[in-house]
Amino acid sequence: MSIENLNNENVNSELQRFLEFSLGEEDYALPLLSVREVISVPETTPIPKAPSHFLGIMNLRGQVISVVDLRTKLKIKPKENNHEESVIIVDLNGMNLGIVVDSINKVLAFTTDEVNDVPEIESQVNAEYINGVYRKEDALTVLLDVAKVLDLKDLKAVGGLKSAA
Amino acid sequence: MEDFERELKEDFLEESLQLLEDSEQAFLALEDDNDSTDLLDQIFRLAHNLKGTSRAVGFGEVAEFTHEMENLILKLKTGEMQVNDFVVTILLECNDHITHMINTLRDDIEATFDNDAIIAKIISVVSGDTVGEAEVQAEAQVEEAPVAEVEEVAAEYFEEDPVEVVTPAAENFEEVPDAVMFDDSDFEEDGEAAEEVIAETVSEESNEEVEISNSAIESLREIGLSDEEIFKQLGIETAPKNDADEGLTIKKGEDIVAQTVVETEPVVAEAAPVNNVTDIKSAPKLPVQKEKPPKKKSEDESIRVALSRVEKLNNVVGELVILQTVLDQRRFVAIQDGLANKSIAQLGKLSKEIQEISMSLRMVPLKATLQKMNRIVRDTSKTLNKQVKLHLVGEDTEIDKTVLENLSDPLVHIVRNAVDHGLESTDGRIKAGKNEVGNVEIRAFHEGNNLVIQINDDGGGIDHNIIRAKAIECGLINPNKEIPPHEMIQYIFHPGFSTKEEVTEVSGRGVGMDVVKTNIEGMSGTIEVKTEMGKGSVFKVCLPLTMAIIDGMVIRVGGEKYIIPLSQVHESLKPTKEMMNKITGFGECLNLRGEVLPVFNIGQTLSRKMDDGESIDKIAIIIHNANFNFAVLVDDILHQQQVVIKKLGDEIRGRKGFMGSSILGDGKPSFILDLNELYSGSLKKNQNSIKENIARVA
Repeated sequence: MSIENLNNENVNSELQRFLEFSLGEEDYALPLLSVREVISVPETTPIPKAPSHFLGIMNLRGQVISVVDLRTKLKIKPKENNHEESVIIVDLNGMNLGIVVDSINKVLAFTTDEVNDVPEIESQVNAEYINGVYRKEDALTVLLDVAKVLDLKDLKAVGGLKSAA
Repeated sequence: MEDFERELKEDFLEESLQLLEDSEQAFLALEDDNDSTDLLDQIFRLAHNLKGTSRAVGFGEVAEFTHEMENLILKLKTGEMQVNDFVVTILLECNDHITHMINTLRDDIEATFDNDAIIAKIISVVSGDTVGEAEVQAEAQVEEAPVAEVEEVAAEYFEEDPVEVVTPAAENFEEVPDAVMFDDSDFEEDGEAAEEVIAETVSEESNEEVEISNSAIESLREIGLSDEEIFKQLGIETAPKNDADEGLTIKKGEDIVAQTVVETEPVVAEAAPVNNVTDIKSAPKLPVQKEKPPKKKSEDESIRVALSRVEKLNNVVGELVILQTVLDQRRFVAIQDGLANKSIAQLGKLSKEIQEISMSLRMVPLKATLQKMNRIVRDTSKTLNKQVKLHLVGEDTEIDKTVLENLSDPLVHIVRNAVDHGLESTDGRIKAGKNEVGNVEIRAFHEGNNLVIQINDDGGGIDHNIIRAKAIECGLINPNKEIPPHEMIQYIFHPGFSTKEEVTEVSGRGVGMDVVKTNIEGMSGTIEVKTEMGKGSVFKVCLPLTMAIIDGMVIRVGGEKYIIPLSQVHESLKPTKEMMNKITGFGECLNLRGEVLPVFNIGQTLSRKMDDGESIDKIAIIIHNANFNFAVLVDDILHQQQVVIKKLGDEIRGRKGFMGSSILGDGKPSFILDLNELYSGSLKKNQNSIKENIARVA
């Protein structure tokens, strides 16, 4: 919907585009350039002994891709009776990953000036994976750093199963 | 620079690297056979060819340098100078220099060089005699062939060619007149010699290759691909010249491979005459190709182009096979029609055949890689003042291209080590009552689904006492611990381990063998060393033939499917109550024909839910492993099929026991389990207790 509007806008060099999606009732966004495609939730094959947010592996036209559920990872309660669940295939420096989200909302475009830093709050979760917060009118969108959400520690955790197995 | 000119230059650079490789081999051969006129002739042709072609395409400096080199070769040829080690060293140096020039030119086509130092060296060897130079020039002109004759011969070739698929070649052939126009200023005088050479080559080549072509085309037709499809798939019509090189790269007489090469062959043969006309002096190149056509293989650059196409083909074929499997598994359920059923079954056979062919395209012979070792051995032995003879066995053994690319470095290390550490000094050999010339043998062969490369030397062997002393010194082992000799020797693969007293130029930094081991294990291969004091050592490298496809057994664990490489499965059976024994504190054991095997439950290992029921309701898969045999319980064996291995993403790669994944007939991905790896930890940990327990049971 807003994609057309965006295309008509005068793109200044600092204008960045993000794909906004929902996890539960919260809005998050990813850099649009890291999004390869959006698909409906596929059938997955579970990965033995992987952390619980690893839903499994899927077949994307012959390519085998892992699918993760960010809601489990971020401890967000999924929407109920949701028919809009989708999977965003992201490309993180050549590594392809599917991310399950509750819904895809829109494409956001804003300049870096409009991004606020993460408020300094005591929090249980490590806020490192938040690149910033975009505020428009009264809604807030969290700009996610997916690589950090599933940070290296996780990658190792999975690889580290070597010793466990 | 005009595109046309640039293209010519680039073509030349591609070709010349091949010539250089050929000449390097020839120089090395010359060292063994000092008086071989044939070799000298060949070398002279190569050098001359290089000079002529480089001048024709406008690389003056290369030509100038080659000219000097040619003077030297001419002296050798006329007998004015004797071939000796020193001369060969100079020649090899020249070869390296040209290789360097060519490689630099490939990056920067306008590059310039400083040849003075090395030219001075050559001149000092030749000692400034000008007679030689004059002769060179006189001889040079003999090689030139009149256009008409070249055309005639080429035309003859096509007439002879019974293969119908000659169309694209014929089309390309029409380019010849253009090429002729381009360079006709270069034609001079007569060219009897060249004419003869071309005629001979062309006819021989054509006969030889047409044979392959025929059988190959037949087989492709059998598979039902139309000629156009084949061309299209291989992109022949778009890039005839490059493909000519690729054609040769893949060639190798093997039928399957030849099938795809088929349509490139005419082009190859055709491309050569074009070259001859374009650069008159390249006429002598053909004989070289005739003598050693497989050498073209080592042309890395052009094979890389081919590989991407081959990979694309492999991917598409992979998809085709998956779809076919779906169809096959469904056919009795969904299709009543007998003919349709039969067709699907036949389609299955065909797809499998196509898949085999497309997989085999990735296979290349080891030859080029092994031959590089000639040079390594020569240089190493010269530096160390040892006399070494290298024997190559099984050069034509084929292996997956990606495996080959990673093989070269480890091999160089092992071969160098064999010459440096393995073989004794000449004095040492005489004292030991051996022939003063040391032998290193590289033997390549297939063993099951593996390629084995064995590097043997007849040196002094590895002294496990020295290894032990060194290992204690490095703090790797406890001085009081007893370690059997054959295990002790494996410490040479330990990082930072080197027993050589002095660090030589060649080796001794201790960073060799552990890198070798890591590299080889990175390719899912293994390396073993065996040694006998006073007799020599054997390094045995085992590599998987291909990393892309395996025969798999599909098993069921609860509601999930997993794939086990069939090569790991020794047998499978349904255990009876009598066979299963429970040992408290250890677990279950399977008594199979007197052999007691530890039993693992795959559901527990992977934390998956299995069907309810006792062990005797499951299926036991027996795995034979180098260290230990064991049984793995699974819910069911579904079927066996060939699976295309898909790599796992970085996020789940490197998990122990997971080789990769594959897409099964239902379109869903499944994991391929490496049971040996999956249970290697458990075995080591439990090995002693297992043994004790088994001793108790038995």
